[in-house]
Amino acid sequence: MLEVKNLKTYFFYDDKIIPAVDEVSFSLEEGSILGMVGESGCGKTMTALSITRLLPSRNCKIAEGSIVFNGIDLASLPEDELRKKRGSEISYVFQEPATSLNPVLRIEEQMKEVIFLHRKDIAAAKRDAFIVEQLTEVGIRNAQKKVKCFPHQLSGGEKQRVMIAMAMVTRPKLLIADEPTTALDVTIQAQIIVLLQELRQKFGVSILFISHDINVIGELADCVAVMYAGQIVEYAKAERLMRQPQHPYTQGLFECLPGAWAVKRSRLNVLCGEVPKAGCFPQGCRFHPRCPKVFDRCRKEMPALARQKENQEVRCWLYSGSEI
Amino acid sequence: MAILRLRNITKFYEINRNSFSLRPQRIKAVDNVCLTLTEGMTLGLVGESGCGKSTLAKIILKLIPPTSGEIIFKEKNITRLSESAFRPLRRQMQIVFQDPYGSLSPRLTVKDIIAEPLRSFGMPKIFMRPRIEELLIQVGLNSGHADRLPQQLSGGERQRVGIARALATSPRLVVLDEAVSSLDLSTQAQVLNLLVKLQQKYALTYVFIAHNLGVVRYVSDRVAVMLRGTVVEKGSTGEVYNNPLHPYTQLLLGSMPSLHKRLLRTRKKEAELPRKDERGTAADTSSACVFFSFCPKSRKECAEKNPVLKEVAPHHWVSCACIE
Ligand SMILES: Nc1ncnc2c1ncn2[C@@H]1O[C@H](COP(=O)(O)OP(=O)(O)OP(=O)(O)O)[C@@H](O)[C@H]1O
Ligand SMILES: Nc1ncnc2c1ncn2[C@@H]1O[C@H](COP(=O)(O)OP(=O)(O)OP(=O)(O)O)[C@@H](O)[C@H]1O
Ligand SMILES: [Mg+2]
Ligand SMILES: [Mg+2]
Repeated sequence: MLEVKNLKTYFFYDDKIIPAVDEVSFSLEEGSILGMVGESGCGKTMTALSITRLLPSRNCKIAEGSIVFNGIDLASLPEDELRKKRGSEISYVFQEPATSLNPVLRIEEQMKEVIFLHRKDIAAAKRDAFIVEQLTEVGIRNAQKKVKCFPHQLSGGEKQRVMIAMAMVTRPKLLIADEPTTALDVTIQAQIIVLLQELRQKFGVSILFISHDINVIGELADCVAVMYAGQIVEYAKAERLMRQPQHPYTQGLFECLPGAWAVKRSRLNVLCGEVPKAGCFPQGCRFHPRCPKVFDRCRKEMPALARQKENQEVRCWLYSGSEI
Repeated sequence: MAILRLRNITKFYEINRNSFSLRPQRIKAVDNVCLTLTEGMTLGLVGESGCGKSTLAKIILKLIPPTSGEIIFKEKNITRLSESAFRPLRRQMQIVFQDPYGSLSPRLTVKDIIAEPLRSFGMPKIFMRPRIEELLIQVGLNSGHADRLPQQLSGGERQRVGIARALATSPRLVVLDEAVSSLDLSTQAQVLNLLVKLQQKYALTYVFIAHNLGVVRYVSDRVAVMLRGTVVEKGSTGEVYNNPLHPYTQLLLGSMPSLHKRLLRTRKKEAELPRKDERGTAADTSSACVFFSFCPKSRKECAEKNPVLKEVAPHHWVSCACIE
């Protein structure tokens, strides 16, 4: 369905090249959900943007790799054909709802435009009712009143849900959702989780779901990719990854969460150091300066993603002897 | 000692007020809320998305006026205080906003952003520079960040600039509206550690608004659960989490996403989730309990009378007709 191979997305500057996404490969089957986690700045959004080629600036380009979507390589598709796909077959929920809703149009007007363009099957007379129904579906209460609001009159979570509703009305085959549930309370998160699962069952929608909330990912996703410094460092079935994270980075990341056992006000674990900026990655394994289990080889050579038991893939020298 | 008291705060928003073609409508965002903040303690505020948390936060800081009700800050009624009379108090309360992207002006450097509140309270220039450096160090940044623009910072760094700005005037009360929600796990842990440390050092009072219930439990001494503009349950964190009495609180705590849920397939959609809003627009005016139409335990009397908060155990208040 979607097959991303060896994707490299770089920022080209006069004096340097910044690799925001480096050798990322994954595939997404019809009706499956891939979760993507990782610290801020490790390239999750850039990976997602690359798939639709909605890259932030002129100097940012896909340098290498292919993105095959239903047999067509999006990486080399002409812009106008890609634009058609973007609206109808691929939907995108952006990370910042505030910036992707038009501030001077009422919610109703924005939704009508999407429906007008992509849902010719809905008669003009039925559009109003359809919009209210779609908004109610994502848990917005009082939808009749809310459609008359401007984006700034909605709460953070309501804006986010309007975005989700807009992405779903087009009945896409691929839905890319970048942090779609951060501003939602857990009951509505649960509702969105159910809604997304329903979508994939009924319509076979495939979903790329980016989030910092590993609990949401754990519940929703079939497989999870952990990103670090522009690369996938671990990839596995959700259950497997949550129960037995192998990469020291994944392990460290999961330990940062205040769990049920967290003694109140005790210090929480943090990963020491910070994510290296794209463009100044260390030599060898990119995680080695922060890794508690670092040894000599890590400083010199970059490990490759190697397959372990149960199709778990890990990019780490610790496991280099045990691949199968 | 109580630092701030809210008495019967109610807030209506008006939409379509300046429209020729649309009828003006009122949205009830906060309904008769009473809360007390104790000095040096953290009040966690959780609840449905769109239930009025951010609105309440803005009312506390007098950024918007309540429709009715009183705000008492340090035994002084500040509800109708003029802006000039309020000025000396303003520096004692600060807010970190929900949106880390929108709340920092993109054209100002970090230094200028932090200097803004200092300048508005007339700090002489010569004290400014050292104070800014001190603040940056307090929040775990350094003077190297002072000349950067917000877009040159990572999400976590941006959020810390927001915190530094809030701390600039040495406030006594800080409202944190989803201050950590959009951060990755490691950065979130860093910011939480920082908040706890600062509170211990300066006996700050926090209002902590968030959707991640694990995080709220970790930082809060008291918790208030909101639904449709009202507080339905409040009490000490341990009481509310271990012995939730209101059916909505139970639903909320039961909806926390987890891998576990999927494995057990316990996520049942009808039982758990209020999908359709049967009450529609009646919600604002009806006299029924706010949770009536979704409540598994609702009785006839719930349709007629909205229950009031009752103290059912020491420091544990619930508004539910089913609880004696
Ligand atoms: N215009 C730009 N010029 C140079 N580098 C950039 C630019 N925009 C983004 N980057 C870099 O690209 C890398 C990947 O950023 P990306 O937005 O994909 O991170 P992310 O994983 O989505 O983080 P977050 O969780 O904060 O959303 C970062 O290191 C960032 O600094
Ligand atoms: N300026 C405004 N004009 C009209 N209605 C508004 C305005 N601001 C907020 N509202 C409405 O008031 C209600 C409460 O909004 P508020 O932002 O306080 O919610 P919240 O609890 O912070 O939600 P979230 O968790 O999603 O951020 C919402 O229904 C919202 O649509
Ligand atoms: Mg991102
Ligand atoms: Mg809010």
